[in-house]
Amino acid sequence: MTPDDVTPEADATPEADATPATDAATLDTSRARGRRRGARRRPPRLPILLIVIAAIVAAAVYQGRDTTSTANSAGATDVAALAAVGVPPSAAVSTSWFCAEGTSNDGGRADETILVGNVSKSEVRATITVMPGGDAKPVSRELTVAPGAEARVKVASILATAEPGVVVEAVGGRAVVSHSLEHNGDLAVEPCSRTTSSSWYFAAGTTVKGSEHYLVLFNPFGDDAIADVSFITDTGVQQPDNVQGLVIPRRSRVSVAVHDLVPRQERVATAVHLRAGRVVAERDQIFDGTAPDSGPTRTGIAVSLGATATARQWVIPAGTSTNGATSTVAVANYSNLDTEAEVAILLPDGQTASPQSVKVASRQVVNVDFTNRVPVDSPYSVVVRSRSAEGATEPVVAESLSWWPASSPTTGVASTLGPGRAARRWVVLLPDVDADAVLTVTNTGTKPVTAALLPASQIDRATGPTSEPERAVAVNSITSFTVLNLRTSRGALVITADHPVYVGLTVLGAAGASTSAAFPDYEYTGK
Amino acid sequence: MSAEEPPSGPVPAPEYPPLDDAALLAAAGGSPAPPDPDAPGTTPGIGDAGAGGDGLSWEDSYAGAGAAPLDAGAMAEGGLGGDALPWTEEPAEARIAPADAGASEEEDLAAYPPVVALLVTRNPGEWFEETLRSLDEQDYADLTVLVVDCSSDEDPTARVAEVLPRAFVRRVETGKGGFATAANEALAMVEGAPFLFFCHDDVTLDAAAVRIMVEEAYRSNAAILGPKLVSGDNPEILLEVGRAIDRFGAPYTGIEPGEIDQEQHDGVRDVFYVPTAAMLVRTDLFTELDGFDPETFPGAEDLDLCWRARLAGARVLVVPDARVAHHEASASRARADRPNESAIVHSRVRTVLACSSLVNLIWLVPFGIVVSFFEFFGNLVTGHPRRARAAIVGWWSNLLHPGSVRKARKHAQRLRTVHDSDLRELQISTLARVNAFVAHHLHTDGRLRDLGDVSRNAVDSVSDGMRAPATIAFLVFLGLVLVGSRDLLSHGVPAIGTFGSWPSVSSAFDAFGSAWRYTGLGSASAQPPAFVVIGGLGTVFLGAIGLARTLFVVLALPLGAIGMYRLSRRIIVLRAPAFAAAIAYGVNPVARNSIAEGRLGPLVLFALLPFLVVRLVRLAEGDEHQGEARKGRLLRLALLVALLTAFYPLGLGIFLAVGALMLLAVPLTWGGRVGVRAFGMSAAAALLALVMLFPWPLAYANGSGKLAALGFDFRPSLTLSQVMRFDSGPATATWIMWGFVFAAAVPLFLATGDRLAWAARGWVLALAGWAAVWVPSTFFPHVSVPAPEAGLTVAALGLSLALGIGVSVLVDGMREMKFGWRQPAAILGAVAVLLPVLGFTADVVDGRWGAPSTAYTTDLAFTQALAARGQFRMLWLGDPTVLPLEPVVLDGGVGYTLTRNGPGDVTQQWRAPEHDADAVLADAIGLAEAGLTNRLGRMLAPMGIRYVVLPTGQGKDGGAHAQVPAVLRRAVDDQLDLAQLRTDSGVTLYENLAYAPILSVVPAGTDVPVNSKAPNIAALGTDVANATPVVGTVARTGTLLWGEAHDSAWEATVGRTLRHTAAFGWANGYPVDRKGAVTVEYTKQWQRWAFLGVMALIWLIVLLRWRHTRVRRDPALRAADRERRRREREDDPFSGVVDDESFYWERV
Repeated sequence: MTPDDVTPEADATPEADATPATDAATLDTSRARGRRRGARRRPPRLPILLIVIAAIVAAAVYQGRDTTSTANSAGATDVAALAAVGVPPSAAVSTSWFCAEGTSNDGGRADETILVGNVSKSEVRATITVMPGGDAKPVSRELTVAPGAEARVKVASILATAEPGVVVEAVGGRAVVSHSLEHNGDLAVEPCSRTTSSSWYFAAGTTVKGSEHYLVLFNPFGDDAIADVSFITDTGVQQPDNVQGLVIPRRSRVSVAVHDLVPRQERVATAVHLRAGRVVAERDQIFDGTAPDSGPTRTGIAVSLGATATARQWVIPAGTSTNGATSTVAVANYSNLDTEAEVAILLPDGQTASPQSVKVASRQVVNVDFTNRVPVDSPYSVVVRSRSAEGATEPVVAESLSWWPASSPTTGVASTLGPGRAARRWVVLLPDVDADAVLTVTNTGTKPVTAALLPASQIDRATGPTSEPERAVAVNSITSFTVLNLRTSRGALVITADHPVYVGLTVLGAAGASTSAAFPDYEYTGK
Repeated sequence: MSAEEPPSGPVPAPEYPPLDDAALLAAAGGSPAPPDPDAPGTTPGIGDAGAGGDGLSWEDSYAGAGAAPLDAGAMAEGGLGGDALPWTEEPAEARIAPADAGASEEEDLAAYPPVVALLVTRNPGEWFEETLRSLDEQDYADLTVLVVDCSSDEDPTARVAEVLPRAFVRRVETGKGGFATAANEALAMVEGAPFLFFCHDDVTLDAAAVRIMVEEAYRSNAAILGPKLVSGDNPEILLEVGRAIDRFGAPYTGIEPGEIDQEQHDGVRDVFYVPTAAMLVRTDLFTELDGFDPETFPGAEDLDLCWRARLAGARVLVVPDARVAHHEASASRARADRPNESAIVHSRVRTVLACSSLVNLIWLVPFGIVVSFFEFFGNLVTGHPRRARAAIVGWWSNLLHPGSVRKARKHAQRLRTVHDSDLRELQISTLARVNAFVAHHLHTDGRLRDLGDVSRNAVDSVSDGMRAPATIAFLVFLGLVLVGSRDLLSHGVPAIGTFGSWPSVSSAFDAFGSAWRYTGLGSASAQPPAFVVIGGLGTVFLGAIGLARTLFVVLALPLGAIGMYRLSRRIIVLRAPAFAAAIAYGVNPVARNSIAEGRLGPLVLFALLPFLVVRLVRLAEGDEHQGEARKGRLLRLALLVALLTAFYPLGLGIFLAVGALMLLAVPLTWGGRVGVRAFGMSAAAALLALVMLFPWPLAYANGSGKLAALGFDFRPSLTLSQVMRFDSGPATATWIMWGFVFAAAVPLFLATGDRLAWAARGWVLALAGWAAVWVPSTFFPHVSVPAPEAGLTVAALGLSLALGIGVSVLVDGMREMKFGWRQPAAILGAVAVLLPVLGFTADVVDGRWGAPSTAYTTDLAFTQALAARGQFRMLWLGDPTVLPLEPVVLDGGVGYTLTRNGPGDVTQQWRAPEHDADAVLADAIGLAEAGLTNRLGRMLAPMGIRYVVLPTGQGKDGGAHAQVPAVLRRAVDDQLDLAQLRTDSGVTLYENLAYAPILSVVPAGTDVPVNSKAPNIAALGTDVANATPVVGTVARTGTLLWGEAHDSAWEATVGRTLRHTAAFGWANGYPVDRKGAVTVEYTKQWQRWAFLGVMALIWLIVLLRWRHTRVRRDPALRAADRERRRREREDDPFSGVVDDESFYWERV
C-alpha cells in the first residue's frame, strides 16, 4: 500500500490526483514564471538564511553560556535534612515531634517528661500520643499551650509503659518539644525530633563496666521499618546479627541494649541504616557508679538525638568546666578514607585555646579529652572540623560527652551532638528541676555578633528591655546567659542575634547535669 | 471486472410460440419487415420460423401485403379511439394520423408492424420534452405514441402537443399500482399492434432503437426486449445491458459503476429481465400474462413480468445496438413520487414467492429471512436505517399475507412451461449474495462508484508506484512500523501517560452522557467529546475496544507519514521528494517518543497535523473552489480540528499557531494573500471546531484559568541540541538526527521561487516548534508548558517539508546529467537522510518503540477489587512526565493525578477545569511538600484517597523515568498516616490509614466540620478513619459523607431528602438520623441532556452542510482520468524506471 491509496476525502482527490505534469508546471519554476509574470516578487533568500542562521546561532550561544544547574535545589535539600529540631515554620499547619527515649513505667531506666513550648502569638493545641507498641493502642492527651508558655507533661501520667514512643502533634502555631529524662539523680534534656530519617549516627558512647548503652529506635509510622545497626568500637566495626534486619514494628519503638551486643568497649559509635521505613534514633548512656576496669567512674544518664548525616564541621555549643567536669568529644569517621579532625575550643571574652588535630582512621572513633584546655568554671563550645593536609576531608560525626565525678557538687553525665546550622534566633526550653542553666552563644562567623535573651512571649519584640543585657560576641568566641534556679523559671526563652550563631543549653545543679542544643529558628532573618 | 457476469452461453430454447405470420397478420394485418441483410446471423428461433413452414419468411410476410398496420390512422378513424379508447383528454393533433402523412410513404410504412409506444409519466421533469422528441425522431415509421399520465399535478397534454402533436394522452388514476397500472391500460386500449414499447418519461431513445428491437424480436423470436441503457447525463457511461437476479430476487447488472461504454457488452443475449425504462413486449404475450402485476409496483413489475414470461417459455433479450439514455431522474422527483424502499423489497420478495417453484420456496424462505437479517444489520452499520427496515419488512409483509401471495403464485404458475433449473443460468449464484447486497445498497446512491473509483485509483497508484524506489522505501517503512509495533499489537498498548486504558463502549457513552465528571474531585463541567469517538471506535470494532485503542495508537505513526505525503504532494508535487518528506516525518523520533512515553495528544497531533495543514493550504491557496465547495472544505477542516481538539485541547491552539506562522512568514515568503487567508481560515476552522465541540468548550470558558486542563503539564529540561535532534525521550535521536537538519537546510541555499518560499515556511514552522520547547526549558524552567513532543511535532513537520523540497532540488541537479557540485551534494544529502532512518530501524528491535512492557497502572490494578468495599481514589504524586493520565503541576514542579477506584481509565483523563475542591488538594500536597504537616493522610481522607503512589517510571523496561523530587519523597515519608505498602524500583505505594470511603457515614461521635474556610485545617482535626462505607444502605447515624466537590445539585435521600451541607468546606455532607436505603443523585442531569440535544442539533446541521457541500467528482471524469493514466503508463517509456520524475521531466 502506498500513500496514494489513502484518499480520505472525495474532495481531496482532484488535487491529489492531479498529474505531476500539470502541477509541476504550476510549481516550476520561479525562473520561468518570473519571466512570464515579471511583476511577481521572488522570495528573498538572504533574509531567510539570515533569520534561520541567526536564530540557531543565538540560541546555541546562549545555551553555551547557560551553566546553571540544580545545585540550589540540592542545597535546599540539605537544609531540610538538617532542620530536624528546628522551630517549625510559621506556615506549618501541624507539627509532629518524636521523642524516642524515655520510660514511663515504675522502675524504668529514664523517667520521661515532655516539654512543649509555644513560641507563637496564638494558643497551640498539642496532642501527646504515647505509643506503647505491640497490639496495645496508643493513648493521647490533648493540651493547650498559651503563647510564650511552656508545658511539661510526665509521660507516665498518660500511659505507663516500658517502651513509650511519644509523638507530640501541635496544631495551630509554632511549638517546640523536648524531653527530659531522669535516672538515679541525674538529668538529661534533649530536643525531640521533628523529622524521621533512614540514617542515624552517633559518635560517643561506651559499654565499659558500670554502663548501660541503649540505642532507641522509634517508628511512629503505620508500616514497619527494618534497620541494620553497626558499631565502631575499639576493636573495629561490629555488626551483630541481632541488629541486622532489625524490625521496628509500626507505631512502636525498640530499645537495643548495645552493652549486651558489644560489651566492654571503651568507645562505641553507632550507625543505623534503614532498609525500609524511617525512624527516630536516640542513644541513652547510663552509668551506675560502678568502677570500670579502667578509666573514670561515672554516675548518671546522658541522652543524645542522633545525627541524620555526617558533616565536615560540627559545632557543639554547650559545655562547662564548672564543678570539675571532664570534657571529651568523640569523633567518628564512618567513611572509607582516613581523615584528620581539628578540635577547637571556643571560650568567652576572646580567650583562646589552641586547636588540636587528631587523626581519625577510616571506620574508627577517637575520643579527645580537652579538659585541661578549658579554664576552670568556664563555659565553652567545641568546634570540630574535618580537614586533611593530604586532601581527604571526609565527613565525620562529633559528639561531646562530659561527666562530673561523685566528689563534685554536681554528679552526672551529659552528651549532645551539635545543631546542624547556625541561626539568628534560638528557642530554649527549660526543665523544671533544681538546677541552673547556662545558655551558650557561639559565634563561628566572620563578624562580631550582638545577642540578646528574651522570654518567648516577646519573641517578636525588636527593641526594648531584655531579661539580660545584650552581649557582644567576638568572632570565634562565645558568650553565655545564666538562668538561675530553673524551678522559678516559667516559659521558654529566646535568644536573638544580629548574625547567625549557635546556641546550646547546659543544665547543672543538684538535679544533675545535661547538655543539649537549643532549637534553631531558621525562618527568622532579623527583619 | 470484479463482479460475476451473467451467463452469456446458450440458454434454454424458449417454448413460447414463435411469432408467426398468422399471428402477426392477425394482429397487425401486415407482414413482418424483411430481415436486415447486414444483421447478425439468425437465431435458432428465426431459423425455425423461416424454415419450419409454419411461419412466413420475412419477404413473404410483408411483401405486397398492403394492409395498413394498426396505426394512428385507424385511431384517427376511431379504431383506437372512439368508444374503445375513451380519451379523457383530447390529444393535440390527435386526429392527424401518420397514415395521412402521404401516400408516397405508404409502401415503407407497410413494411413494419405497428408498434405502440406507451410513455408512462407522472409529474415529468424538464427532461420530458427530450423524451418525447426522441420518440418523435424514431426512424420506425409505424410508431404510435400513447402518453399515459399517472395523475400528474399538472396536465402534460400541452407539453406533449408542443413536441409530439400526433401523440395521444390519457390521464389515469393509478392508485398504488403506479407504472404497472398505467401500462396495463394498453391491454384495454391497444388493439392490433403486435408490439408494445413501454418507456419512462426520463429516457432518450436513439433514433433506431425501436426499429432495432423489433427487428431483433423477429430475428430471435424474443418476447420481451430491452435496449442498452446509458447515462442520460453522460452517454459514455454504461448503466445496464439487461439484468440478472440472485436467488432472492436482488437485481444485478454486472456493470461497474461509472463503466465506460466501449461496446464491450454489445452482444444480443438472453437476460433474466429488462427494466421498464425501455421495454419492447409482444402484445400477445403481454395480454396472456395479464400485463404487469400492479402488486409488484414499485420495484419489481419488470422482474415479475419477465419472470412470468420466462416461465411461459418466452425469451427475454437485451439488444445493445438499441441504445437508450436514461436520466435516472427518480432522485430528482418530489419525495412523494420516489419509490418507497420497503415497498420495493416487498415487491421483489412477492415476485420471488410468486414465481419460484414450491420446492425452491422450501429453502428460499428460511434462507431469505436469515439473509434479510444480515441485510438489516449491514444496513444499520452502514447508516441506512430505511433500508434496514425494508430488509425485514419486505419478507414479513409478504409472509404475513399468504392469501395475496397465493393468488399471485396461482397467476404466475398457470403458464409455467419451464423448470426453475432452466432459468438458473440466468441468475447469479447464492454465494454472490454479498456482492448483490453491496451492489444493491451502495450502488444506488453512487457510493459504490466512489468505492470503485477509489479502489481503482489505489490499484493504479500502487501499480504505478510499486516500480519506484521511493515507493519501495515507503513500503519498507510501513513494514518497519509493523515490525516495530509487534509487541504493542500482540500485547496491547500499556496504560502509560495519557494512554489511559479505554473502558467498555457502554462506559464510554455513559461517561459522555453524565452531567457529573468523575475526574479529580469531581466537576459539573461538560464531558470531553473524545468519549464519543472512543465509544464509536469501540462500536465499530464490535466491542473490542482494546484493539481499537491499540490501532488508534499504532496507526498514528504511518498515518502521520501519509498525511505528510499528501501535504508534500500538494506543495512539492513530485512523488519521490514527497515520499522523502513523508519518510522523514514518519521516522522522526517525536512520534516514537510519544508512543514510548504515552503522549496521546501529541501523537494525535502528529497524525493529524499534516492533514490539517494540507487542507489549510488548499483553502489558502485555492481560488478555484468558491461558494459551497469552499464552505465544505472549511467544514471538513473544522471537523479535523475538532477531532484533534477532542483528544488534545491544546491542538486547537497549535493549529491556530500554525496558521499564524503562515502569516508570520509572509515577510520572508511574500504571498501575503496566502498568509492572511491561511490565518483567517485557521481561525474560522478553529471557531467552527469549537462550535462542533459544544458544550465542552464552555467548561474552559468557565474555568479558573488553570492551564493544567489544557495540557500544560510539563517542565522539560532539554538543551538546544536535544531539542533540535528531537531527543525528548527514549527513541534513538543521537547526532545522526543532525542529518535531517542539514538536509532540510539545503533548499534555503538552492531552491528558488515557490520552493524557496515553502522551504522558508517549513523552517519558520521548525524554528517555532523548537522555540516552543527550548525557550521555556531554558528561560522559564519553573513554568508548566505542553509536552515537548507537541512543539517538536510542528518542528518535525516544517523540517520534513523543507527536506522534501531539498530532495526535489537535488533531483533537479541529478537530472541535469552534468557533473558538478550537485551530484556529491545529493549523495551527502542521501546519507544525511539515511542516518536518521537507521536510528528508526534500530528502534524497531524492541517491538514497542521503547514503551514499557507492563505499566505500573497495570501492576496496581489489584486495587480495583477493593472498590467493592468502598469507593476510593488514588493519588499519584511525582514528576509529571511519569504520572498517568493528565496530571496537574503544582508551583514547585510536582505533579499529581487522581484516579478513582484503581489506576483509572481514559474517562478520568481529560481534566475538568480546576475546581475549588482541587485547590484544597493542591494545598494539602503543598503543605506536605513544604514540611508543614505530618498529617497529609487526614487531609486526604475526606477525599476518599486511600492510596498514594509515587512512581519513578511509567512501567517496566521502558517509558519515561524521573526521580521523585527528594523533598516530596521526604515529605511523604514523614507522614504519620501514610503506610508504605510496597516499594520496587519504579513505584512506591502508600496506604492512607486515615481514609474514609468516598461515600461513607462518619459516626455520630465525630463532628464533621461544615463550611470551613480552611478545609485542610478542618480535616486535620477530624479523624474520619472510623467512617463506614455505604453500599446501598446507611447502617448507622452520623454524617453521610459524599467525597465529591460540593455542588448544590447533589441530593441524598434516606427515606426523605437529607439536609445538604458543605462538609469540610468543599465536599458534600448530609446529617443522617435514621438508618435505611440511601440514594445520592445529581439532580441536574437534565441540563446535560439539554446540552446533548443542542449538540445533536449542531451535528445535524454539520452533517446536512456536509452533504450539501460535498464535492463529488464526476464518475466520467474519474474514469477518463483513470484511462488516461493507464495509457500514459503504457506509452511512457520511462515508466517503471525513475517513477514520475521522468514523467515530469519529459514534459517540463
